[in-house]
Amino acid sequence: MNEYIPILIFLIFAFLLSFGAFFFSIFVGKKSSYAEKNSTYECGFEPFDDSRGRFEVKFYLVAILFIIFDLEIIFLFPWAVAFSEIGLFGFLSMMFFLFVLTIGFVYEWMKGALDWS
Amino acid sequence: MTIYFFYFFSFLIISSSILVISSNNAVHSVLYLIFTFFNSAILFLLMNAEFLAMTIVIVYVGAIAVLFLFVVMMLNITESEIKEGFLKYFPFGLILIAIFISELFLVFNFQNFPIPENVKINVNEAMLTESSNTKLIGLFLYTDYFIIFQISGFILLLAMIGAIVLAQSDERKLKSTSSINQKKVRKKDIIKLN
Repeated sequence: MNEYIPILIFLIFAFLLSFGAFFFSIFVGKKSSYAEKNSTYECGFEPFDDSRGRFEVKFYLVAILFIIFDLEIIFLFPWAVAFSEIGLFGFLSMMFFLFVLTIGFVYEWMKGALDWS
Repeated sequence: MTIYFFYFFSFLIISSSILVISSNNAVHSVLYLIFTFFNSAILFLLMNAEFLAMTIVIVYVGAIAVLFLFVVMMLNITESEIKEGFLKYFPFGLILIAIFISELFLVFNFQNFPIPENVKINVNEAMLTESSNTKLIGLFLYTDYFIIFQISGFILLLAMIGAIVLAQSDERKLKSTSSINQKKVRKKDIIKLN
């Protein structure tokens, strides 16, 4: 566990620094605001619409496919670390796992889920 | 020392998860949820489960949070609509809480999980000799827990196919060119002289 202490110190410093910058600018900074200053800047314009519009379900499909291949890669990590000790059976079990996921990948490719029209 | 870290980070988890359900803006809820995920990863680190901690950061923070953002943006719900559903879903939430708490009691009653009979290596013994958490998982997952590993592969396949079937429209609108057909075109096919 001791090797995580530098990360903890880093987190504490990041926390202090960001909060310090935030609260110092609130309490120490000089504030003078008027209507013109608070309005939209000259090259901007009033928003036409709500910024949270709906978009196509395709993006969601890409995110789901990303999660699945992310998980596949995570399964590869312990396999690679323990590769020299799990023998041929471990190798073949991972190959079968990859084969099953490749079936899905081929299906996805053939179905055109990766095409962006 | 570790117990104080545990109390600190579990306090952060509880307070940020309360913020998840109480904040008015759904996108802010997702951000608090990411903070909760980070803190749960730290709790796994405190339990020496380093691989699980990194997995939570990669999968939950990297992928699931993005998915939640997409869902929030696709649902197109306003703030008042979120508040309306609270009382309606409250009993369902209580049922879920009851299920999770009873699962926790089950886990704590079985101090030692039942180990499959075909397991050749003693897990507790290996934990003492092997320092790396990732390697320990690798030693057991692909050989002794072969079936579970393959089942997870099939679940991933199912999720992939299910997502494509649900979200993919059938007609392919993509326009593409075929170089073979292009080379077959002759002058008489495209020029017409009257």
